[in-house]
Amino acid sequence: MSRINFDHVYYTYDVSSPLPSVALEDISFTLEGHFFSAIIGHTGSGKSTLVQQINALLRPTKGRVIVGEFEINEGKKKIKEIKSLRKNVGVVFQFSEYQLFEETVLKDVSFGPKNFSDSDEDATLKAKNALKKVGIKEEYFTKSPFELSGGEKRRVAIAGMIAMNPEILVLDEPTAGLDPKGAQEILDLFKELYDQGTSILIITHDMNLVLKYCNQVLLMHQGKLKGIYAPSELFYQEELLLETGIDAPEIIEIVKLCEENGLSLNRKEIKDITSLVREIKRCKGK
Amino acid sequence: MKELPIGRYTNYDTFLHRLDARFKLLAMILFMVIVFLHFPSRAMDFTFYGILFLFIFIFLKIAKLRFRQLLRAIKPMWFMMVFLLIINILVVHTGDAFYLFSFPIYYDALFNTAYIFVRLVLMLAFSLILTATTKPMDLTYALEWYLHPLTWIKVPVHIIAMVISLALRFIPTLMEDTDRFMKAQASRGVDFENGKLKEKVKAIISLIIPLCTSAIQRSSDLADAMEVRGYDPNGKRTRYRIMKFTHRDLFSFLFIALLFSGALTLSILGIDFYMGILL
Ligand SMILES: Nc1ncnc2c1ncn2[C@@H]1O[C@H](COP(=O)(O)OP(=O)(O)OP(=O)(O)O)[C@@H](O)[C@H]1O
Ligand SMILES: [Mg+2]
Repeated sequence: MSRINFDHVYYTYDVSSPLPSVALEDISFTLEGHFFSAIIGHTGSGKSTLVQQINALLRPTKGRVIVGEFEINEGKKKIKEIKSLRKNVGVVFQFSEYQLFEETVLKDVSFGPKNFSDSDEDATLKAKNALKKVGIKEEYFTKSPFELSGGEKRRVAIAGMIAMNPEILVLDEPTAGLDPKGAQEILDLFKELYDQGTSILIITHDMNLVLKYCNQVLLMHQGKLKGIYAPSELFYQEELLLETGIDAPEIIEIVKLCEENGLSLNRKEIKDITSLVREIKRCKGK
Repeated sequence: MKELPIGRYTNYDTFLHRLDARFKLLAMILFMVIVFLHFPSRAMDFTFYGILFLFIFIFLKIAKLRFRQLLRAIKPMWFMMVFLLIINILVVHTGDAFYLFSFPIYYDALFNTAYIFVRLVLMLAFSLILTATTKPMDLTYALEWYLHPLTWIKVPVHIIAMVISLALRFIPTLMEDTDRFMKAQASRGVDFENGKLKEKVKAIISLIIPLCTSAIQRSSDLADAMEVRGYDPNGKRTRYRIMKFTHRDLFSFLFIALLFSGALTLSILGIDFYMGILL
């Protein structure tokens, strides 16, 4: 069971400088149980800043964050606790493909588990499994990470985090710059991990993926949390979307059109084209 | 990481910010020369240091900079100063002395240390004020302007200036990258502060390699971007921003010139206000 709780969290960059910039303002929410959630919001709305509070890469300027049994507040915590917090919450960064550094793909992926004091064999085994999961073929294991394409590098970086087997996996725009099929594959992988018990929190600008995969959406706007919604509710709230600069998936337009034409669709069921077609058929069949 | 940008350009619109970069660069050099002038007595030396500190204080006020920033820049020097003091006490054996637990300490040793300390702080303060009030780009333009005569002996001044301005432009990018890579590797369990030597080395490697590859990647991208937009290193360059010497600059220049020549005269003629009574 995973639990993330934000309690009136504020974060300001460069507090003591002449130009402080407020990135988070009075954020309070709780994610509990087994979740597959998304954080969305316009660029610069504070998504990345929020996510970095979760594994104490940034500490709140005010307020506190509670993750499982760990409490993160303004003060300093002992390193040991931070390390086990980071083992429980894996954060994959925006542009994660640039963080690779080892001679081979396999070594790079086993770097994480080794840092958390796994033996070499254990780490290698976990790395191999993780690489298979993200769809990297065995002949790539001994290649240098610098010889891979951008998308492959991204997968390797994600594998690096999966190999650590965190309870909560947080990903900052994991699909940016991937082709639609690649993005689907990555999200399918997260779905698989989710089904196996990992909780997932992703930041994304791709609303189609949000609708299809997530069961909760945190909407950020100018450093504040607008609210937590179910995707099937959020994307029908036109005013809210307009205010926060979010474009609903195109499929929503089709749903609305169908409804105007007298079909009473079950909005909760509609997550992508396939489920929309199924819904329409169900209505027509009646 | 957050503490690094000491003397970073602050985007205010004050008198000091609006001054011509060429003049500011010259003024800083003149101030530095005053710092290193020798006056006939210590009392005179420290009087001038006092005057310079007064100027620094006024400049900081005008430019809306915080005094704290300067203090933070000085902080890492304490260790060096203590070290220097010990060396001076052990080495300098001239002039009068007093005894501390029957160990002779010469006043000259103390003064020597004080001189070095005060001069360093002054230099630091002036350069901090310069960089905090002048855009890096303007500073390179100023440098290029002063180096311009070198084109007569075929020194490629504008290429040098371009290299400098590109290097300056990459500093914030590299700092951002460092910050990001540190966080990314920290998420993978790297501990940058603690650990044995071997772990530390590994931690540094996990940072340096991505930094280098991304820097090389970025510079090659930038080179391509410049090339497709027609950058020719040997072409004749025009300038987007024209620097103008205004009344404001002239007035400030006269003031600084007066101060400088006054200090120079006093120093060369060896005039002592205190007639050797003090120190
Ligand atoms: N290192 C930093 N120093 C100062 N300000 C920062 C820094 N990083 C982010 N900010 C500011 O904090 C605010 C939130 O940034 P953040 O990176 O969290 O946005 P985001 O929602 O992740 O945007 P994007 O979708 O573009 O990734 C922005 O206004 C940004 O300018
Ligand atoms: Mg972001």
